[in-house]
Amino acid sequence: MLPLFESLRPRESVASGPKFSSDGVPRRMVCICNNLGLHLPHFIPEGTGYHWKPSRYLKELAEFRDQMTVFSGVSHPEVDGGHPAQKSFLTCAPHPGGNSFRNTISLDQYAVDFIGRETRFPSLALCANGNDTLSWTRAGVPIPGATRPSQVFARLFLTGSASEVDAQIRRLRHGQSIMDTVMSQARALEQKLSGDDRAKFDEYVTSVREVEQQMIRQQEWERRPKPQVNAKAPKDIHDQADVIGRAELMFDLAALALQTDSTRLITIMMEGFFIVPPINGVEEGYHTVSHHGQNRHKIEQLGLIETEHMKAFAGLLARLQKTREQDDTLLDRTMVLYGSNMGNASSHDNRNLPVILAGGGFKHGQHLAFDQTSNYPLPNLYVSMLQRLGIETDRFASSTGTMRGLEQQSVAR
Amino acid sequence: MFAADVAPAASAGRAFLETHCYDCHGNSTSEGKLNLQNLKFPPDDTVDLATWAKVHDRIVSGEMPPPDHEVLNSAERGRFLKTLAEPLVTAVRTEQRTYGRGVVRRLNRIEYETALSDLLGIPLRIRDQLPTDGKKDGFDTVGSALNVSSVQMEAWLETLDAVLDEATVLYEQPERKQWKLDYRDTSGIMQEYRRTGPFHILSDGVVFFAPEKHAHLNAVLDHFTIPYSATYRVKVTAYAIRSEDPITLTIRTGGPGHSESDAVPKTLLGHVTTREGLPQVFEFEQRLERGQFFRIYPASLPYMRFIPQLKERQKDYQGPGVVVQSVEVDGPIIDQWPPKSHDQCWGGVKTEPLLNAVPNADPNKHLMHPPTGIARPKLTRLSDEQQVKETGEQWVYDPKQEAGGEPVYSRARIPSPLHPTMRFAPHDARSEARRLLTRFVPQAFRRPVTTKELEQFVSLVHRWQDDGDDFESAMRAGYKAVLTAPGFLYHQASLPDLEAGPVLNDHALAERLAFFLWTSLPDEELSQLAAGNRLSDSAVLRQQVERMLNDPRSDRFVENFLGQWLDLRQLDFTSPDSDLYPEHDPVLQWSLAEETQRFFRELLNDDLSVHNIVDSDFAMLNSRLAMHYDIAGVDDMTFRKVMLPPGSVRGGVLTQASVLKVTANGTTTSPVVRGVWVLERIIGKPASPPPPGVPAIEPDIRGATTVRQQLEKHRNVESCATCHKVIDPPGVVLENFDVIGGWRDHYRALDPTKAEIKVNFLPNVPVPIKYTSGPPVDASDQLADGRQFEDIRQFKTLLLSDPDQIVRNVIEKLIIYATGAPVSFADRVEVEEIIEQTRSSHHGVRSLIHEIVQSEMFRIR
Repeated sequence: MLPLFESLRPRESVASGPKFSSDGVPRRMVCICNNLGLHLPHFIPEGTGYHWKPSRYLKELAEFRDQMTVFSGVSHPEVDGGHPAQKSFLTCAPHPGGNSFRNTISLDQYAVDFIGRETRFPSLALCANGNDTLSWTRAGVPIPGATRPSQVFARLFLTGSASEVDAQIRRLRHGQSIMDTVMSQARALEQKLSGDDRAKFDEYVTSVREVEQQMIRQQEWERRPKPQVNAKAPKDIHDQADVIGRAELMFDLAALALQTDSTRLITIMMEGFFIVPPINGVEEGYHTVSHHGQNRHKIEQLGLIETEHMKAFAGLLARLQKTREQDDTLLDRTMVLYGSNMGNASSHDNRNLPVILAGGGFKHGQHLAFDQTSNYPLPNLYVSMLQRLGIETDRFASSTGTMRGLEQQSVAR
Repeated sequence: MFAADVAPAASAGRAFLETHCYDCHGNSTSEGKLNLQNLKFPPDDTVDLATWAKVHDRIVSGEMPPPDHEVLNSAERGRFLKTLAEPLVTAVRTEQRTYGRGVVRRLNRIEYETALSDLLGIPLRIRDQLPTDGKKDGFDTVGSALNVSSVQMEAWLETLDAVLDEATVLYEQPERKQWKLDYRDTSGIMQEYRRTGPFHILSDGVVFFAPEKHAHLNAVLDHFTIPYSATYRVKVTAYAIRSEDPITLTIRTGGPGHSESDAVPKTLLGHVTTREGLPQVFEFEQRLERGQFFRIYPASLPYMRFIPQLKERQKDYQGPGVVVQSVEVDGPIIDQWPPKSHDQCWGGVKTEPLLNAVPNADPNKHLMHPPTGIARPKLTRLSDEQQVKETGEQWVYDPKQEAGGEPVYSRARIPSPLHPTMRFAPHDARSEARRLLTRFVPQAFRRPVTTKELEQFVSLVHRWQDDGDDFESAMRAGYKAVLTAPGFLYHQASLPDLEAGPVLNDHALAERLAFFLWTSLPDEELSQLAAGNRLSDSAVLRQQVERMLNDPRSDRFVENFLGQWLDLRQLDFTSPDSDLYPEHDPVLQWSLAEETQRFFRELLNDDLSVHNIVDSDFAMLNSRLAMHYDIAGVDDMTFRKVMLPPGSVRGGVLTQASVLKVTANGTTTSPVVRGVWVLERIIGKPASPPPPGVPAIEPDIRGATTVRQQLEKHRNVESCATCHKVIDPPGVVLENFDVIGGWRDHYRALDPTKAEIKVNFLPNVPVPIKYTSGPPVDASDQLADGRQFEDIRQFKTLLLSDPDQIVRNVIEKLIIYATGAPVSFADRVEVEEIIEQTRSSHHGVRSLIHEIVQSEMFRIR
């Protein structure tokens, strides 16, 4: 049996990796991907910098104009292949459509190494619609996105029966005793080694010790009661057609998880299907209208669906804004990335991705417009986000620096 | 460390250095940052040793002293080289005989997968769940590059959970059944696909038009899934229509649906050749995995799709296609129950049925109740004149037709894992635990184990049994401990043996041999020989190498060795630009690695000369490659040995499309990149790394300037020229081959007038060619020593003018791969011996492997 959340195990930070420094403020990150994109003519605002006129979609987010940055002309270098590019939305790994594609670590899992152990759940991978994930391990293995809000809620807030807690603790104790046995064998071998051999084998000994400690730490979390929330367990929406309803459920859950500091890193995948969503005026499947081929009727329907998406997103931002933590709002401390692997779903184009970053302590309010024919690397935004979390790295995947034009808010308080 | 007393010889050597070298490499001037005057001799660390070895090699090759220096007296030169070499060899040898040649080495993820597969007797596919391994000296078998981290440890632990699940079989044997699957049953096809799918339903089957890229629209046979992982017999009946040329049909399994799910692995059954006329039958017998769906499509047809706006076209389409009449499946064929994996872990433990256990559901149960007749929802029968003569009746999807009703959606799903219907009921759990572990641990560790080692595992299991665990759960903890212990994870051939010294004992030798030729553990026969201390006997060793190379497991050696030596593992890393190389397709892509592996296999099987690596009079081809190489007479997809026409540019690995592809980036070729590759992989004299801060040259894909013109600039700068006159020529000569290994006289350049054309892959609309013929290719050049060549044919001849170097290079690569350690200065003596020993067989590849296994390099740790 594997744990429901693979990321449940906190990780040691990578020995020679970047440094982490916290300013004492808990910082969080939510990354959302809508795999069918947003119709760009309805998304990209007129004007750049601080002077821009909201587009049709951005009108829905008017309330948060000063708390978000809108990006255009950005994409992941070498990430192509149409739909498969959703695998690379947070990893930026090149050529996801290729036959022997191997993914790399996603942005949230990268951050897990640094801030994951602060919370009960190092991270949460959610999938509002469909059956995919945005979260990938360092080895390029997908961390399945949880699809049922009710189960996630139970995991987060319902303390299991005594026997369930016992079973989980027992599993961890098993692991601990396995590491212990293996360690005695390693010790016996170590005595025979010298020089380079000994130094090399020390990696093994250290790893065994680290894993053992992680298992002990995890048992402590298991014994602590879970946070109590003033909310009812959500009722799952089984109808895959209701993309918006399902997204809202996951958004609510994300807000609850952040508010209770159950985790600080959340990814939410949202897939669109051929099914007709229950939205007035929409008669064709979501995926079908995304392949509009410039057909006006289809674009109009797509616009209706995507406007609802924007409203749901605004709902999430509003919840985070409403919740206070010390002198800040939760939104001030939570970076919310909303975007897509598709720039133009109609032609399966993975360039010119629609991207918004809200909250999290940046100087917001701008439309950072880059060249639409020769895109600016989106991984640079990820570097800026990692730095905002306190991770002193200057690169992520194919980044070339930090996001040009995006600055952190000074900590003047 | 290096304690040999070499003072007198050294002083003679110093005199030589003073006369010939210090002017440029001394205290006053140290060109290339090399100061020989203060370089310690004999060296006392590995860095200085490597520097002296380089000095030695430069003088041997004649690069030093440089041409403007007086010519050396050859006797003096010889004496000096000897003075230099002997203490170095002695020093290294002393070191090797004390500490061994390599450093401790864990299993890499491929070895882990195959070792575990062979130990348990199930073909596992777990390598992708483990982190990627590092490489050194070009191979992932080198201990110093194989790191361990907590992430790695967790990955091992987690993988084992799944592996033990797969190995443990606590349910009834699945029933062997026969299905005859009919594509005409479209009930599993989504409405959207039925309207646009590139297929027609005929009276005797379904004709498919689109290759893999749009084959998801077929979404066919999604009503059947492989019910259990085991061997199946599969029989596909199909024929081509409206095509004089044969059409390649790809038959494989994989995930269902629009974007094929990764939850299910893919298995290729074959790329077969279909022709017009009577239906042809293709039979396969191989292992398929639970949850796999059939994916069958005419791979050699051009991309095409019907789009909804043009629905009339589907009905009218008259293009070529492949009619698939039926897919017959027979299985699972199981020769042993419970399977070997279960016996390995649980053999002899009594079981009892679980109370109220629900039997595992048959994932194809819905097929037991087929719809009466073939579901033809909203299908319209065409009028007589609309029908196609050779196929008779024809049906098309017609959404306007109300009659027919919607079908019952009865697609199969990816089944959930099998659940147990019984449980273990051992007589005496404690003694059963001991019995199982006593048998399992030595197998896993590839050696006899001490009582102390064994007891640690037994007591782990006993502790949990005492703590109230059931038998299975406690034993699983034990197995996980065994399989994450150093005894399983580390090559014992890389661990010191305090009693035996650096020479491998028989068990370690068996292990090294098994990982070298099978990427796996020793089998029963090897273990027996090792137990009787008979393996180290030369004749026995020779016999075993023969046996192992004749065993199909040696395909893993071919795959893993070539995968790294010739970079075949990187074949899929780039996708050729589809505007510039529209002829590239998945079947060609698959054929690339096959060709090179089969070529090497041929050298190995028939002990053919390793010089064939540079040039051969034959090639291993199927029809797709033959078309790619413009070689006549190969008319189907079966690989065969083809004698090349005289004067052919093909022959050897340099001109195989695989090598040409991995040395290009998908869009362009760079002579520098290819030159470096040829020097390193084929010639075995790697170029020096580029100086820092020098940007790579960017080829101009609009075709204004050729790479060659850009290179000329490069080579006119003196500081660049020293290295580039060596690096460039082997790359320049390959300019005649494009990024997928096709021959070219002219570069292709994107045609700006067509670059913006959007391709929709509509039926009957030819895909526009978006490139034009650019500047001509000039592949002539001269080697650093001034010898000129016109083209690849002359270049190959020049390469073979130093035949021993080609042999030396392959021996060195094999040594690194087999032993996990580079060829040291001292090892070179033995390498030269191997070259001599194999001269009589013209350095046959099989002979080389025999001599390597017999060498001391292979037989010390």
